Amino acid sequence: MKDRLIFYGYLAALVLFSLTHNEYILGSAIVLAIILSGKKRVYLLKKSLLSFALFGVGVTLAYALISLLKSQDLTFLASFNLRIFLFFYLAFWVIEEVNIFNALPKKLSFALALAFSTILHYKKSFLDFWLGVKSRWPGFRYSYWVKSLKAFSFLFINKSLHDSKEMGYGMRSRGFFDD
Amino acid sequence: MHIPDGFISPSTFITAWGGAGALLFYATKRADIDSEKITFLASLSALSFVFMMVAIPLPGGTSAHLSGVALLALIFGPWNTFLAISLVLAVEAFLFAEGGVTTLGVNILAISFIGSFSAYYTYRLLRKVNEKAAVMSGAFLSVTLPALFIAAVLGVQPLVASISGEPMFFPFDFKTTAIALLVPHLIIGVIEGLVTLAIYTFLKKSFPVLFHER
Repeated sequence: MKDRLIFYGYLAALVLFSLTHNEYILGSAIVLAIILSGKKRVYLLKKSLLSFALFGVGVTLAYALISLLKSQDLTFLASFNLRIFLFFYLAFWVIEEVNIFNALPKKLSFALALAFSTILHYKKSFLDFWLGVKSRWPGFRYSYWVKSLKAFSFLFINKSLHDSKEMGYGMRSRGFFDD
Repeated sequence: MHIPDGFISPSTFITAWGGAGALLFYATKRADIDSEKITFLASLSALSFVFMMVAIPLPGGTSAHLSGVALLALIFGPWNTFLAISLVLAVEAFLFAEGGVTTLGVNILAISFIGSFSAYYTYRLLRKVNEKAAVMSGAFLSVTLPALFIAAVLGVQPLVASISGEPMFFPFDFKTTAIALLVPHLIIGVIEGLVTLAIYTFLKKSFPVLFHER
C-alpha cells in the first residue's frame, strides 16, 4: 500500500509540477525533496546532476546563446532547468524508495517483472559474450566485429526462442498460469 | 532518442499517453496474450534490450548504438516487436529512470510503433524489387522516422505551450530541432541499415526456420 501511495503521489507530482512555471515553487520543491530524501541525498544529487548534464545542459547553452544574440529574456531557462532537475531527482528517489512491482496494477507489474528479470539475465550473458569474443581478437578489426555480431545474433535469437518456452513450462509447473 | 521528463507540456504527453495506451490495448487484444505469449514477449524484450546494447565502433574512438527494432520487426512481425520494445521502454522508464515517465507515451509511439511498422512495411513494399534494398531501407527508416516524430513533438512545444511568446517547455522550433536530430540520425540510419542487412542475410542463410512463416 505504501509503495502504491508513493508511486501515485509521484505521478501526481509530475503532472502538478509540469503545470507549474514559477521558479520559486520549483526551487522550493527541489529543496524539500533533498531534505526529505535523508541519507540518500548525496547519491541522488550525483545521479540527478549527471542525467541533467546529459540532457538539460545542451538545450540550455544553445538557448542561452541564441537569446543573448537576439537580446531575449532568459528567465524561462530557470523554470525549465529546475523542472528537469526536480523530475530527475524525484525519479531516482522513487526508484530507491518504491518497489515498483507492488505499486503498478497486477498484470502490468507481472509483465514488467518478467521482462525485467529476463533483461537482467540477458544483460549479464551479453557482457560475458562480448568480453569473451573481444579477448579472442588479436586487435580490433571491423571483420572481427561483424563476425562476432553475427554469432551474437544467432546465439541470442536462439536463446530467446528456447528460453521463452522453458520459462513458460517452468512457470506453469509452479502454478503461475491458469489458462 | 528518449525524451526525458520536463521537456514536453502536459497537453502533449497526455495526448501521447492516450494514443500509446490505445495502441497497446489493441496490440494486447490482437496478440491474445496467454502464458506462452507473455514469456515469449519477455524474452523478445530482453533480446531487443541486448540488441540496443550493441555498440557500433566508429572511427575516432566513439560509438553508436544499434537499435535492432527493424531486425526484430522483420523476424517477429511489427505487433510483437511493438509490444516487446514498449516493455523495454517501460522497464527503462520505471526501473532505470532512462527516458521519462510522462514522456513514455511519446517514446512508445516513436521508437516502438513508428520504428517497428516503418521497418516492416517498407520491407514488405520493396522486397519484390530488391530484398537487400528493402531490408536496408526498412532499417534506415526505423531510425530516421522516429527521430523525425520526436523532432515534431519537441518542435511543436513553443506553439502549444508558451505564454506571451515565451516558451514554457522545449524552446526550439521544428526546423531547428529537425536539423539537430535528423542529421546524426541519418548517419546512424545508414549504419543501422548496413548492420541489419549483414545480420539479416546471415540469419536467413544459417537460421532459415525463423523465416519459414513468412
